[in-house]
Amino acid sequence: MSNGLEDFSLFDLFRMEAEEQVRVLQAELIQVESGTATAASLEALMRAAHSLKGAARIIGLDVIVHLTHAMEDRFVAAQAGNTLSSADVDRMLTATGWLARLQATSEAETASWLEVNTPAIEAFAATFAAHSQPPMVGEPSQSQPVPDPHPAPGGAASQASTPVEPPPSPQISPQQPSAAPVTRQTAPAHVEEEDGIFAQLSPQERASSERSVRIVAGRFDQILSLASETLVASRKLAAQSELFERYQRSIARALHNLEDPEATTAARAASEREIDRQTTSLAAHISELNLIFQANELTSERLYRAVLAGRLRPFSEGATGVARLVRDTARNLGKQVRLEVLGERTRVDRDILERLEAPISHLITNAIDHGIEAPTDRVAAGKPAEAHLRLHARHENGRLVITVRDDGRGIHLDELRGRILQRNLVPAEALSGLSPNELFEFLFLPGFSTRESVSTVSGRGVGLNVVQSMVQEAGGSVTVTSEPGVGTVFRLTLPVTRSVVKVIRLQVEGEFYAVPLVRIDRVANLEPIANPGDSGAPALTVEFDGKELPVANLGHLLGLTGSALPNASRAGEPVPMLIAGGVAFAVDRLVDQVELSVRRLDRRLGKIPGVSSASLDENGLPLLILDVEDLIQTALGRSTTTATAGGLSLAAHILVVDDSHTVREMERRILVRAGYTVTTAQNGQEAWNLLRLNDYDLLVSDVDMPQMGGIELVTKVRDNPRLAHIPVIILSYKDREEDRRRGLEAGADFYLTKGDFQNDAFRLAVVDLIGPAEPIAPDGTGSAGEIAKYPQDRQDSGSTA
Amino acid sequence: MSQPATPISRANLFDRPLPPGYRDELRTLLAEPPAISPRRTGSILLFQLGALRLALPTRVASAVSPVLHIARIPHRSGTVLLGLAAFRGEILPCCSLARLLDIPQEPLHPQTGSARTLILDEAPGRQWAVPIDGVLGIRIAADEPSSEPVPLAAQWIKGVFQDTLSPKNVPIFVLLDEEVLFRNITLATA
Repeated sequence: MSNGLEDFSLFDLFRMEAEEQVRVLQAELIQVESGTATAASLEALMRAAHSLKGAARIIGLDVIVHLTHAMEDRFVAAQAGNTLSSADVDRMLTATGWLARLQATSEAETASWLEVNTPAIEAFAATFAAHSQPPMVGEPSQSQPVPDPHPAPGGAASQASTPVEPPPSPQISPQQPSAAPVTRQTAPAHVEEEDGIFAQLSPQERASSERSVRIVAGRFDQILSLASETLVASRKLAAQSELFERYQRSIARALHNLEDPEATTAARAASEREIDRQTTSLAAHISELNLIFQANELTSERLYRAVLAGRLRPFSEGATGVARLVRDTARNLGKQVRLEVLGERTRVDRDILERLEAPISHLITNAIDHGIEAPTDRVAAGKPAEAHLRLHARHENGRLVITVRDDGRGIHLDELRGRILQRNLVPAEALSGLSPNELFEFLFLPGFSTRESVSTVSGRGVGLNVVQSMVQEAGGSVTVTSEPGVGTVFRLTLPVTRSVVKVIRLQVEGEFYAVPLVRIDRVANLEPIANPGDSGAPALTVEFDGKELPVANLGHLLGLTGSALPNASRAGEPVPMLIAGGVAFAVDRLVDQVELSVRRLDRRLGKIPGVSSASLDENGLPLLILDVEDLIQTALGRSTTTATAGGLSLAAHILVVDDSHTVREMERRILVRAGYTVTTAQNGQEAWNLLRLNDYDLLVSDVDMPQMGGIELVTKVRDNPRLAHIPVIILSYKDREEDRRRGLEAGADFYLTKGDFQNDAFRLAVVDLIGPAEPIAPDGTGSAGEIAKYPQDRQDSGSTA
Repeated sequence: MSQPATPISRANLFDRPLPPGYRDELRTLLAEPPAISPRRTGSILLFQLGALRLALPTRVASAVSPVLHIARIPHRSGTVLLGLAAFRGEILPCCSLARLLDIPQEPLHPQTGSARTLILDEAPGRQWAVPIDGVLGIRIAADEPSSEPVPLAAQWIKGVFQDTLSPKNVPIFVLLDEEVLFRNITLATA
């Protein structure tokens, strides 16, 4: 789970934390000096020094650990009654000045900065010791001279006794509180980065939403004209409403007269005539309304097509760099290649076109490097020295199809099998049963390469995986066919436009979803057969086109039901199914086929397993568009998303709570590296909210935190019947025996000190409490897939996730 | 009218020694707790959630809609995140404020009116749909702070106020801290 801090180095995190805590120290010290400080101020000061100490310890800044430890001790003494004098405040501000200056130093310069300043800081920290004891009765408050934080090289000792000289940084001077914004200037950027999930639109997203789109004047005029027509039609419709109300009133009046017992026969006859007349007029108007409605529908359709056509660009616009790429790559590799581009005028949605450049470049590079032989080899094989590479774009059955074909050596299945075995991706006995197409699928796995060595061009095994990801992101799929000695063809199938997609609407567990037509091979009502499965339990399959396909209950894959058995199958009826990628997805109902405008999923939701985008249906209701490729992978047990089909994470989920960015991130990284899923919280209250609302396998908590401390949090957890069983580790800097006792008495299972990071005790304690994180197989397999198993599912059929 | 300051008089003004006791006087002044005065809450929207009367600034509670259809999100719809809802052509995440605040879902108070969906504007492009039990009105006037206890964790509360326009039997409302609220909504739905 992302907390937005993954991309920062620990030193970056320390600097972020130092910036925040220095601000707290400055603000609260000024309060202390002005005499307006409260107990809360001292608490905040102590906590700030404590947090900085922890952060400094993690990144190994011992001198800062000593300094902040001295500060913390002094604040603790002040809390115990040894009040801070004006000289103490000066001293603290000077110490804060050191911290501010270190925070402003780049990581590269930190070592030299420390080398110069460490002696003075150490000497300065030592001056705190005399002031950190609780006051003896009658003992006057003392003040000590403060060393200059800018000592001359080698003069630390003498500097330690020089009078107070605050560092030049203006923000640390209590006389110049207005200078504080100096540190704040950089704060928003950090805060934005830190709070990744809270951030506004990223610059890229902003640029994307604000970008301009070129459109020819003629098309713009056409759109304007059509828009005017729809406006006129809507006004006509509005006028009709008034007319219908008039009819309603006239007919109601006539009916009233008819029902009047005192009405004369003549009056009744007149009323009947009036009703007839109004009914005839009404019928005429309904016909007129139908005409307006039909014309409006036609205009709206034309308007929609015109706008859509404005998005379509010729394929050549996305293939401008291909010729140069082929020339350069071939020259680098000593090969001769003739490029042929067909279908340059094929219209492609501009969004898709933008996404095609990278995958096509990958495929072209791959073809030249892997597929096409050196000229001498080609001649020896009876081929022309110059290879033929063809890039072809066309529309087929309402889809955009792009092929990259080379006449190179092709993919040798035996070599491919050898690589698969070498990577231990499939047991040897199963490998022989795989068809060529199934074997080619391995080429798209992350890190899979048929090359023994890595070159500047390829061989790292990332290319085809990236191609597949990008094409899938654009709503398409990629397949490969190859014949040894003849060549290889990569075929990308994409929707013509990304903004509108034809879908099959379906219903599972009472919810409506849409599946892009382009990703579906067939739909059919099929009767599942129970066959013996690998685990001994019969698995559901269907026979389709002479093949036996596994059945996956779509509702189960989407986490909507706990049963892997299709609903209709339980009633012994044929089940409506979508056939895609060799899997039969069972649904409750296939509703209809419609066109939907595609919208991106809200970024706050992150990647939702099995879902690609969203849309609004004709009634304006939200409708999710499913990610068929993801569902196929999940059904076959090759899901790469963090959640498995049942909505459960592969890894144990740990909640880490600590008010220090650095410590929190350190803990998170250790646990994520060990394979766990981690969520973080900044204080006990935030953690308590998360615990109330989610399920966690382990809680790791600090002790001293604002709003709610660790001891209170653990006590609440133990008092809550639902949460009482959660294992808890307390991780604190407090290492006194009474601290440990307090933590364990509150209900913690382990009480560790933060020094235990270094000796692996923390990770071992986690493993001890919740076991190791479930290892993920080299092929990404983490679970046995979600193919329906017959008998077990029958037992839990009807249960809902 | 005061004498226009000349460079000399300005220098005299700033260079003169501090009057005796000036610093002490200033310190005493700064140390004085601020006088308690009726707090202006600004424009706020009052709404009912379970048995509680809550309020949010109208700058974040930007719209009220009839109850919206909620589409469940696979693997995500849970305790706080209910699903997706469509409002004015936008698809918004819909979350349960009641579950987030840990408010028991009690039968509607007879005076709350019908249920609604509140649209919260966290920031441009970041809206949330939140089902509520009814809208009680908008207040602009200064309200009296109240010390009455409320069954809500302190972290959510920006203030508890007397609502001078309300019936006497339900005289207080809780102004929620929108920053804490949005942060926790984001955390609970991430």
